[in-house]
Amino acid sequence: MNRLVKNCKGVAEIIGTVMFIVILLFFFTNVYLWHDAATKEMNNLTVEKINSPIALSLMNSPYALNVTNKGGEDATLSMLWINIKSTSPNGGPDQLHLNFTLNTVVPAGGSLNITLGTTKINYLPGANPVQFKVVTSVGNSAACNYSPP
Amino acid sequence: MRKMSKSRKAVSTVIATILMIMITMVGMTILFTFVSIYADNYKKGIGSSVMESLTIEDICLNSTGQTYNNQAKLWIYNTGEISANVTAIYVNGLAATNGTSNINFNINIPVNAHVPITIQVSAPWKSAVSYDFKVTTLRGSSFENPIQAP
Repeated sequence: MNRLVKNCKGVAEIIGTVMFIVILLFFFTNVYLWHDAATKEMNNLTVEKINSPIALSLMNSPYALNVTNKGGEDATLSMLWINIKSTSPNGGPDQLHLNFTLNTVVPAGGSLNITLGTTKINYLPGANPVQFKVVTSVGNSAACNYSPP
Repeated sequence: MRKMSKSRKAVSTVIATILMIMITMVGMTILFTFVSIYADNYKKGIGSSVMESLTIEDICLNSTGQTYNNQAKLWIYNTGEISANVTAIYVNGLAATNGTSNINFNINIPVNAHVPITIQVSAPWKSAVSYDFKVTTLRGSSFENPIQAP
């Protein structure tokens, strides 16, 4: 036993191997932790998306879009799309796609009116059918249609 | 002293030890650099694909008067945590071109940006036909949006 303890042969190999494994572990742990943090960040985004669904409806006199946040988290409205459809009864190509930047927050469970025909959203429904669509900052969207009387 | 300087005993052992240490150091440096570069590239490249999130927020099928042509304008919104590079766009599984017979788009979309991309397909759009638009990025993510032509 005493001879075994005093024998130093092979110690360098063991130290070298341990150091090699430590360095490799350091790098792979670094990558793993980074990947884990990135995945958690995106999971939070997905949770936020699931928890902030919106609904859109059109009100008249005056024309306004009512956005309702049906979720438990605030929703930030990013863009309003106004797609002016064809008047042909058989359908056909859309006549125009307009977009307006919103950057408005709808609180959790709350609702918000976006008035049309203002300087910010300079459009009022006319003779054509129209599709209104709102997109939020997390990628949720809601749409509603307008049919002329 | 003279006797000691003339002695050649154990010289080969010393040289061998120095050589072994040098080779080990060079080897470890190469390995260290390789793993370091690999980890960095992984983080910047395919590893970041989990942080990509694109939304095809609007698709406008272009027309000339009341007749569809073979072009469309896609508005892509980056809702992810990092900028994404759109490399290809597919319509019903077929690669669309950017108008110059090139299927490689190479369009950078910064975070929170709304970017329009005009595409061209081989045949004109048809009313009441469903089209599945798929956008793929450089990191390998893909995002789809099916629509029906009005």
